[in-house]
Amino acid sequence: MTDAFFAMKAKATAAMTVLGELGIEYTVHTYPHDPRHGSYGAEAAEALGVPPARVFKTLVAAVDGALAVAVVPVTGQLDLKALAAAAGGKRAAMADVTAAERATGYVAGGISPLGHRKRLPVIVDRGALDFPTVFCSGGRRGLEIELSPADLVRAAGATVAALARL
Amino acid sequence: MSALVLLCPGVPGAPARNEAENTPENQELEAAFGRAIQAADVDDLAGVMQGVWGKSGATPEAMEQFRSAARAILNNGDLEEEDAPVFGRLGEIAVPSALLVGDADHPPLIEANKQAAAAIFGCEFTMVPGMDHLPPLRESDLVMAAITRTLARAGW
Repeated sequence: MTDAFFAMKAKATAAMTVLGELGIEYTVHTYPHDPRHGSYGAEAAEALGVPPARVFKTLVAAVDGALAVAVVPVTGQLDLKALAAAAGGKRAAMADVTAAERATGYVAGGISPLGHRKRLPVIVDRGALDFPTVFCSGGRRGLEIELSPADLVRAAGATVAALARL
Repeated sequence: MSALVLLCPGVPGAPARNEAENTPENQELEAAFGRAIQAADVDDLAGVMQGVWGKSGATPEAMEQFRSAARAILNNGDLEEEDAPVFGRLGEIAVPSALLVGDADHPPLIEANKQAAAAIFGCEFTMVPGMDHLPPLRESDLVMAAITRTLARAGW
């Protein structure tokens, strides 16, 4: 059993562990998650008082049957054709939630672009580069991490492409 | 400080094994704990905590305490810091002291509390039958009596 469980403390998420191992500076923001809120990303932007264009959601899709991770602003919609092209495939569709949770190790609404259980390709929307820092899930609902877009791309081992329809 | 009454304290640095036993039941509790944290589910998290620390019963008051603790856990972010190991310094306590722990508390904590009481000179140790990790809720009279008794030893 872990010390965190014994002490009933929340241990660092896999995303925070990755950032720590890489020595990347980031800021953790928490807020009380309201299960009645209809949108995890919009909830984060509202709770943290930041423009939603700077808050990025992590979506898991299946590209030609293989899972891939798209990181797009909460103000936009994922362009599945663009994702398929960026991932070097032909067809993309949103992944089954259970498959997404199993592959990433996170629960829906708390899926981070970082620290996945299985190695998945990550593609970050180009719009992230417009901001000095962006927000994305830290690996659980109600927990966001703020970091520079360059650090996000580096930590995720991501590629950058235009993925969002605004 | 004139006197010290400790209620089932955490004792960082105690020689007692500070881990829960690796039983199937505890493994399931730990997995549920992780799931509830990821989902930020206050009620689920409180339920897991009650299974570990609130074995005397899921009364409304107890569950509200656990929900309050759950909200704190979820909002700690990365601010949580390790407690300093203090066991080796317990012998420095030079005031009348008492330590209460219940036999329904988390077993590793009970062992650490026994060791802590033995390490504090003159500490009055009380094991309370049936009490879990919520002494003021479960046994408020015993807690008050321990405080009064210990203060009396300090000349109050």
